[in-house]
Formats: sequence, C-alpha cells, structure tokens
Amino acid sequence: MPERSVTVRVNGRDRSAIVEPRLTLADFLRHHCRLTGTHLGCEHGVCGACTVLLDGEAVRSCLVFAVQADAAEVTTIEGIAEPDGQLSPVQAAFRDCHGLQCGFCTPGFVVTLTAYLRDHPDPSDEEIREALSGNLCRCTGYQGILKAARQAAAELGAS
Amino acid sequence: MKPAPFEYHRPETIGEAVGLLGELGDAAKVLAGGQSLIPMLALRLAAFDHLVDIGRIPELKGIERRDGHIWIGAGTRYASVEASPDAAAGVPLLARATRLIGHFQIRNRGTVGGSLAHADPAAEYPAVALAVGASMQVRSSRGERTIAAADFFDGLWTTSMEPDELLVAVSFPSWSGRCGFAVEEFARRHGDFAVAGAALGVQLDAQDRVTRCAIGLIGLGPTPERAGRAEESVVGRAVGEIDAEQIGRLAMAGLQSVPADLQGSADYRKRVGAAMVARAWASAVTEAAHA
Amino acid sequence: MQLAADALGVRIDDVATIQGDTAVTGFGAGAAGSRSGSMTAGAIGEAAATLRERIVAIAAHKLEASQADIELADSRASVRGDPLAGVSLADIAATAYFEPASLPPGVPAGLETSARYTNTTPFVWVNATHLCTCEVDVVTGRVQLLRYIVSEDCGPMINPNVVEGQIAGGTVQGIGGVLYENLVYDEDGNPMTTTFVDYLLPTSTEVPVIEYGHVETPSPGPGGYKGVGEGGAIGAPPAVVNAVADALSPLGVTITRLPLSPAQVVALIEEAGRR
Repeated sequence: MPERSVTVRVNGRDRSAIVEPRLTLADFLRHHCRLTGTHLGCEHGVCGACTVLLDGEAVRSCLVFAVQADAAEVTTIEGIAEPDGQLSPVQAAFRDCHGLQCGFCTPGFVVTLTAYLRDHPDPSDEEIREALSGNLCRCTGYQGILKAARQAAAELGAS
Repeated sequence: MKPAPFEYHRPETIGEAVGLLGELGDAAKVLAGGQSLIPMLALRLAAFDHLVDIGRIPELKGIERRDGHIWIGAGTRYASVEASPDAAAGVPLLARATRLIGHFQIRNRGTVGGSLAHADPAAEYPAVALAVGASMQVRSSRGERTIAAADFFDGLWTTSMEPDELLVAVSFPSWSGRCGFAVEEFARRHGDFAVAGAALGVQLDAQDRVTRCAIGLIGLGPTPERAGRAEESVVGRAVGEIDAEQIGRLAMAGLQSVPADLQGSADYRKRVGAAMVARAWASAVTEAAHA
Repeated sequence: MQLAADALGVRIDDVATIQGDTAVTGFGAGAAGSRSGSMTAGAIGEAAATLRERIVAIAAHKLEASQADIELADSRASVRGDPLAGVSLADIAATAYFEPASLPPGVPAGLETSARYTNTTPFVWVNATHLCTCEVDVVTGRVQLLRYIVSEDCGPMINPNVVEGQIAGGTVQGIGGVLYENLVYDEDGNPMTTTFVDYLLPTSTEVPVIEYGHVETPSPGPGGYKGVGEGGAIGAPPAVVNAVADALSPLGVTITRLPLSPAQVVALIEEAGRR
C-alpha cells in the first residue's frame, strides 16, 4: 500500500513522516511524534481518551487518519499548558477538584473541556454534562470532573 | 483494532472524485467525516482497497437559502449545520435533529452527506430527509441526477446510488405558514443511537386544522419510514380533536420489519416508538398553534 | 505519602514514593480486599517509628538537648521552647551517612530501614450506607436517578479527596452494573457485546450528584484506618435496584434479574400486568 508523506503542525511544531494511509492520527502522534499523552482507550470512537484539537476543533484522533490531517494544526494534551509549564485553568481545576485518579481518560477530558469552554463560556450544569458525555471515565464517577469543569468555567468566565 | 491496508486518494474537485469512483468501482469507498466508516474499518467489519477522501473539495461544502429550500453541500459538517441560522430557520427539523447526533466531537467531523449515504435507519438525518421530502443530488462521470428521499433509502445501510455515484448535495424543502416541528427519540444514553424516534412536522390553518403532517420514523425498520397512515389520519382535522397517543399507535401499525436486538424486542421498540411519535406530535402542535 | 510525612514531621514535597514497579519494590501479595490503607499505615508506622527514634537521638545529640524536647516538623528538628535551636533533616542525614563518628552511642550509621506489617486483627470492617431515589418512565422503562447519598465509615480519613473519589467511582460502577452494563452471549456462546457501542458504561449524563456523609469510627488496626474500596461498588447496586423496585411496587413488579435496561423494566411491568 503506497505510503504518503504527511506534515502536521503539532503543538506549534511541524512534524513530518512517511506513513501508511491507514495510520490513525492518534498513532501518528504517539509513535512518530512520541507524544504519548494522547491515549487509546477503545480505538473505535467511543471513549474519547484520544481527543485532540484538529484545526482548533475537538475530535477523536482514532477516527482521523494521519493523511487526513496533512497540513493541519493539531494541539495535544502536551500543548495545553503554558510554555513555562504553568497549568491551564482547566488543568489546574482538575488538580484542585481531584478530577482524576488513574489519569488515563484525563487528557481526553482536558482537551474536550478546553475546546468546549472556549466556545461556550457560560454553560449550565446540564450543558457541561452533555458536553462531557462523549468521554468515558471509570475511576471518578465523573463527580470530580464535573466540579473541575464548573471551576474552570467560572474562572474562564470571570477573566 | 487497526484497519486493513488501503490506497488513499484525495481528489480536489468533484470531477476528480467521480472519475476515481468510476475507475475503481466496488473497490473504492468514499471517506467523508469518517465517524461511521473508520470504526467499521478499525473493527475490520469492512475493508476497501481504496478510500477516496472528499474532505477537501470546496464545492461540497456550504449551506445556502435557495428558493423555497435549504441547499447543503454533502461535505458540510454537522457542526456547521448546528451553527447555521439559515438551517435553523429554513428546516427546523434538521437543526433540532443535529444536536441529538452523537457528541460534539463527532459533529465536528461527521457530514450531512455521509449520514445520508451511510443510511443507518437509527440515525436522525435519514428520517428528517424522508419526512420533509428532501432531494439528493448525485453525480457520476456519466452525469448528474436527483433522487427523491422516498426513493433513496433502499435497505439496511443501502441507498439507491450506484457504486460510482457521489452524493454532492441535498436540498431540504422549507415549510411555510403555521408550522411546528419536533424530534423525539429514545436512546440508552445521551448521544447513543436512537432505539426509536420520530421527526415530525405539522402545519395548521387559521382554524387550527391540520393542513400538512410529516412523520419520519427513526430506528423502526431497515430504513427510515414514513408513518403514512398516521399522517393521513390527521389532515383536515382540528388539532383539539386529535389524541396524541392514538397517532403514536397508528404510526406503529403496519410496520413490517421492526428491529429486535440488544436494546429490545420489536414490540418494545413499537411501544417506545408510539410514545416518541405522541410526544413529538404534542410538542410540534403546541409550536404550530402559537405560530 | 501523607502518613510518612506525618510520622516523620517532614514536608509532603520531601516524600517520594515508588509503587507498582516490581523490579525495585519489595516482594508481597499486593492490594486485596481494600487492605491497602490499613496495611500501608501499619508498615509505615513501624518503619517510621524506627527512623524517628534515630532522628530524634541524632538531633538531641547535635543540639545538646534532651530527646524528650525534640520536635520534628517541616523536615526539621527543633528544641521545644527554643526557636533558634534547630537542625534540618538533611543535615541529620548527612551526619548519619558521612560522619558516623559524630553519632551518639548506640545509633547505627545510615538512615534507612524496612518494615513489614502483620495484622493483629483478622478483619478490619468497613461500613457504608447508600440511599437512592429514582423515577421510572413506565412507558419506555427508563430509570432516572434523582438523589444519591452515601454515608461511609472508613475510620479516620487519611485523604478526604481520595475517600470521596473512591466512593464516587465505585458507586457509578455499581450504577452501571444495574442499569447499563451487560455482557451478552448468543446461543452458541459467541460474545455479542464486544465494543463500547454495545457494552454501555455510564457517562456524565447518566450519573446523579453524589452527596457524602462521613462517620469516623476507628478500627483496632494501625491508626484506626480502614479501607474504602468496597463500599461504593457493593452498596450501589442494591440501593438502585431497591429504588426501582419501590417505584414499581404499585404495579406488582418483583425484580429478580439484572440489568434493569429499559426493555427489561418494561418486560417486568408487562409481566406483572399479566399476573
């Protein structure tokens, strides 16, 4: 199967590789870019652990082929904090509200919530729950995650 | 959990795309948003030697108000429909159905054309297209034709398009007058495929009599269905005389191939379907009466 | 980490822990039956007591004070009543490792120890009570959980965030087991629910807000600590099932099978209606 050259701008840096078309964006990020913060929970588009921003939009990177992301911009969990390492409001809220335990689903939740709050600065509780319903967590029962989401929304809304 | 190998093509125009489909035939599959196709490839439920990615063809994108209808390019993302005031005003059923589709991450990638061409009877758009009588614009290297929604859905995950045809756009007619619309569906969890649902439009005259009714059924057959008998039973009658529960039951009568699966028996689906039609009716009629 | 910090009077940031790497950690049987809290407390308690004795002795010797007046806090040893007199744990350790000649008599060189905990009570019992209210749509069979309260007694709470997180996670797993999760096989034994599309886990839209109450009854074990891993997943299923049973009892429904999918609830209602 003829391989293709792809260049993706990941967290502000151009990353190029020659890949099989069937390579998912998730695998491209994890193997070629060595950015393993993007996690594979199901590889069939349900769990949300692989969520990244593709041209600014939250997407399941296991449902995008790397070749489809050629010339696009991707932000992974590794690109959410400030360059000096300062946590984003969403990340800080997860820490403050015990929004993670094992941490496997966390990158997906953080990226999802980052995109959602950017576009919906004043969500109701119901809207937050709906926005996060595409991400699965087994450890937290979502309680800490929802608290973190409310804290982040309040903080981002206030600024 | 990785797809079988395939060759990848990314045409830049519709002409190139249909040329490829004509050349490759059954060995090729169109890749639009990928939200239905890629899981199937990953689980190896399907495999194709060639994928034709239509994601970067500009003429396939767009939402436009045209004379009496809303034109939507097949490559338009659900998220664009969700955000479009033209779609909300022109085809309320479409806007209301869109927010029920999956999760917003799915809506950022999935496309209108993809949903219709995939023809899942438990999806929202096929039922909406059927209810409002949408027309599908379809092109191949042999030319272009229009397929009415009533003739488009052939069977489970099957449309009447030829293997070398590409769905390029869909026209959704707009209704005028005192109208009300509702989409009611029952799913196990938020964003799951509907177990049963209804996309319903109703139009009233100045005396609150029904002048028009369309009921598209979700998840109640191998294809979306129109509840024709229920629709006919209400036209000409005063809204106050019509019992919502009865409409729901009538909508289920005569359904031949109601699915039975992990979510429930055929009888269970009909029970839920009747309730969804009844709720959609009540909601749409309330909206129309205030219009 | 908290237990070690408390026992030795050091800052949390000065405690490093290695877990789950069998190449470097001691040999043992692992966590089971929620014994981690009690067992870890016991082991840390013993090990810390050994080191604390040596640290206090070295500090007293260096500060020329009596051992009874030495206090350990913030990774430092100080003399009660004399704010200027103190020595850091780092300096104490340096003395222990590099200047053993300066150590008080009887204190061995180095500052390391290991301990294993053997429980003296056969069981450490934990308690939890779950309370749940729900609403059942009798047409579709959908169950909606309205209010959910857990009162847990895990003894003194080492970390309330961890306790509540554990309760929440277990409770939602229990809710999943009652209302959503089902491994289905066909008549030939083929698994039918092999993806997350078919095997349903609760998401953020299916879970109630969980309210917590804490009772702290010490156990006979070390620190009085008890495990908190059991109450969530064990308490939730009966609470949810019984809430649904209560809701449907006017219809003559008896629940004897799980899961309570909407279709199953409707089947129970229809069955009761035929009796």
